[in-house]
Amino acid sequence: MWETIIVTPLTNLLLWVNTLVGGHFWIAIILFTILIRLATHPLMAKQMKSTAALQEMQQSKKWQEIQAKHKGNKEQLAQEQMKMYKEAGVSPFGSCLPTLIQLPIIFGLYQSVMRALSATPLQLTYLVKSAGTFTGELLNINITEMIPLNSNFLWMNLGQPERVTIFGFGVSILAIIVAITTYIQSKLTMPATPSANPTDQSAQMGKMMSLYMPLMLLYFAWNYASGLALYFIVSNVLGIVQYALLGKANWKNLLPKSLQPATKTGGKK
Amino acid sequence: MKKKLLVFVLVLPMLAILLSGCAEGLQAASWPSITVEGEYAYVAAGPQLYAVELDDGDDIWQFSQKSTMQNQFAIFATPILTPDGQLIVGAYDKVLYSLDPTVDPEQEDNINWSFPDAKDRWIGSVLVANDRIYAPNADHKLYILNFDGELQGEPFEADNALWTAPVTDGEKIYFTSLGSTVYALDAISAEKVWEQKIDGAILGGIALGPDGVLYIGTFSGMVTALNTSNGKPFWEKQFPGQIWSTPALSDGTLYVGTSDGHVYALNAEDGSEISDFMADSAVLGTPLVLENKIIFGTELGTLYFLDRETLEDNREILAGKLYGTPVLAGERILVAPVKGDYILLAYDLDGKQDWTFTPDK
Repeated sequence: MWETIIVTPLTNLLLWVNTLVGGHFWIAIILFTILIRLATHPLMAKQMKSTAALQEMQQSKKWQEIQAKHKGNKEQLAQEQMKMYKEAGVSPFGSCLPTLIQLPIIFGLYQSVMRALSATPLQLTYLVKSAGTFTGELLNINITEMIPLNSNFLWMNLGQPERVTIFGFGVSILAIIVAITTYIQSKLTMPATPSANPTDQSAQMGKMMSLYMPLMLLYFAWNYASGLALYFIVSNVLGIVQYALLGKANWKNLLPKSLQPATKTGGKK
Repeated sequence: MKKKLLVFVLVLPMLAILLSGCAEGLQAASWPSITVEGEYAYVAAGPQLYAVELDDGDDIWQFSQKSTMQNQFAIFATPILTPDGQLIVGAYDKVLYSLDPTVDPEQEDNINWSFPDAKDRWIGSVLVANDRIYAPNADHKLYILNFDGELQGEPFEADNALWTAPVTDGEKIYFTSLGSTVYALDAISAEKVWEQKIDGAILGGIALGPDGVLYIGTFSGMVTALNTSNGKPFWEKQFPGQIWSTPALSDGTLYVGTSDGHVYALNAEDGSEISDFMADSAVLGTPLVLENKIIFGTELGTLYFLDRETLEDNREILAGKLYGTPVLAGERILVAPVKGDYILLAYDLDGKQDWTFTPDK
């Protein structure tokens, strides 16, 4: 099912884009990422809206009062919080569900990039089969003329992990860029006004994710094909652009705390 | 909530690794290959290289190395024996190994030497000739080593990945790249003599004729005969299906399997069609041509024993896919299916199963 619904269509779409760009696979990955981002933009916009509403609600005076009132009673606290969510029309999962929905796309995209690059004979048989399916025929994929794909990009082979030797050590420049752009994107999407409540769970989660996600993606980009790292970088940059265009990017989060302008924290006026 | 958060951040990467690892089961996957020498068969079947007794399919030894996240160990290239008794195997961890086949690696180290300088997988097998090892790598380079594993000169860089074994007529070394190019190098100096682009990616190797002709099949379905002296084509024949393997040449007849299930017999002089047998599915491996029989496997796991004259067949249905080439071992035929019930199966020349091999552990 995964194969039929996700991997095969994504693979054929990637191959189709590859034919449009004269066989330069790195351009195909970039364009493909843009396509995916555009297609998932409505979800992302919804996520941003939900996140903003959630943050606003969690910084309101009423929320702080409920936290203080039911500090010792977790069950009552949870009930009151759910009541507030309902009244505000906000879901506590509204900010992460769209991300979770995008995860299969990320995994499927990785598999489709690896399949398209076909680094072994058996992988090539899977690619040929993908091209022979409904979506392959719909997109008029002529696999015979496409093989072998041009997997070179600058100093890299997109089907292999990228490495540059620096002082005798193999270093992945691309993986480092992935980590940096992921960190920047995480920081830009955190609330401009930090929560006054030290036990605020969603604030803690946001902080943890802004550290954890860059490390996790660094790991993937370091160890897997550089085509995936290229996807991550383009996706992160596009994410930053999307947030900026929607006016949701909090640029001052990128400044060190000492340089950030003073703001009043918490409390809804 | 803290517990849920912890579960979330731990489960997420595990799920990611699991799902990405599910891509085709293993990134380094291909089909097994077999070499026969004396009383043993050596089967390169992915994570292990097996030495198997030919008489009864007994497990003699297994060779493997540790995988890392970046370099997964797997051997699929056909192991090749040198005149001085070394077994040369290229692996997907980018290392070319020389093994002592008389030593059980579980008892002691059986690696004579290893060559780790290639930048990509060893997919095609090596050619041993002129006291040299000609080793084609997917990093586009043909490495030339001596029998001590030392590089002799600069490797020759082709236009694309090298997936198949070179051949030689003693004067020149011939090999193909995935990028549709056939190369001829001087056998002694390793200088390029000629290169020739043909139509379609080349996944199979070269059949070398006795009369100065090379025969090659391509992914676009073209069979081409080239002149060994200058690489110019003698004739070309187009088929609808893809050709994934080396044509088989026997007594002036060329046998070619195609992805749409055909096995063609062609006149090697001019490419004219002699016969066309339709199998039950794709024929990706090179047919094995014997005096009276043609033996080949198909994607659906059917092993055909075809009468060479009448094209009457008897067949055996195996579990798994038969992408590789059957190998003759005395009076037996050996096959190694992909994702089958057994690593290796042996049949007599009439198609009756003799033994099967599954490793002891």
